[in-house]
Amino acid sequence: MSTNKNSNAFVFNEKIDSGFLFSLYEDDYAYIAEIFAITVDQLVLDVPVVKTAFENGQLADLQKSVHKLKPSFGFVGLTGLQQECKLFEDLCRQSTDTGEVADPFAILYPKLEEAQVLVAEELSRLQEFNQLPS
Amino acid sequence: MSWTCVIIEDLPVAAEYTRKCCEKSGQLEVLGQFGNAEEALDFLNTTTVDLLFLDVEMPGATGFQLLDQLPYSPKVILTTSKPEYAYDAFEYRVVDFLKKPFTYQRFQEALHKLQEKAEGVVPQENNPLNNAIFIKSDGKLVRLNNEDILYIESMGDYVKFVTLDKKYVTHNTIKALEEKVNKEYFMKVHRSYIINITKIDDIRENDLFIRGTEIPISKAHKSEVLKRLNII
Repeated sequence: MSTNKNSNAFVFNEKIDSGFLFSLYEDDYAYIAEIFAITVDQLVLDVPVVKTAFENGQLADLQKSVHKLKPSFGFVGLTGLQQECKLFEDLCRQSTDTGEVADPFAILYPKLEEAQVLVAEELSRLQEFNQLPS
Repeated sequence: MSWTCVIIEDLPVAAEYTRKCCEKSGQLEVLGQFGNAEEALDFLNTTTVDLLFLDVEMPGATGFQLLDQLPYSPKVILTTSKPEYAYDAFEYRVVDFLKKPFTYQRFQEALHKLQEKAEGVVPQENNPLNNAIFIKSDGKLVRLNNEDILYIESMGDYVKFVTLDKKYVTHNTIKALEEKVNKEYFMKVHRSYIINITKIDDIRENDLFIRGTEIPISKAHKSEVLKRLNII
């Protein structure tokens, strides 16, 4: 039996808040794929900046880089991670050097890298889905 | 109602989404999309738009610094994720504050506020009190005729109105006054000065002179000042 868009709506990875995604883009999967593609390109640039800022001990740059990254996750439905970035950003603001945020950073950064992989995988699946006959 | 706008946003996905919302609304024409304040300023110095969708934190100058340098005051909708900017937003009289990512429904609410604000403004040409302003001074409201005011100077949280024969200090900001004064007479020439263009005696490079007082013209405002003068 062949698969098509009408019989199978796209099911996002469980880590993605699909309800929130649909509130932004409705079921315009072509546009969602476009948003994911832009985000994949942006995460490739922005995620390493976070690590560099931490390794260089630049607290202000670390805060800024996480601030910039934060809404990108929201746009692809990773609302939990967006909130974690917000908490980390607040923590940076209250701290005086990167040593004080080392433990939370060790928890957050792997999640940023995982998210980068997840968004790229979801983009591939979306692109395949969008090529299915209607 | 149709508005022209630009999107000033360093996060590409947010810029793209805002552009899509603008198109979907059918009420907004996007004239440009810029990733930093400097590029936006270059464009806005030569093109007048009705509305800015403006991020605050960007590489280089912030969104508020951009507003300080603009030669005119378009309506502004801030797109940011930091509620800490709410006070500044109030000071700059922004129409609304959209936290990224925002839904299309929330975007429409911002447009609704924009329309309400626009409809609430009394057009300058229809206002019978257009030839004067009232300021609070010494516990009373004092009428100042536009033609008597030489210039208005910022003094931190206060401004000084300099007239032909007297000076008045009142609690206000240049930014707030910029929208209230009659633009036929007045224009902002520097972040600290609004001048009465009918009172300019001469201009020397980046300064103008009114009754012997030297007033700086910022780089951002110079072309607009020269445009307003009848240079032969």
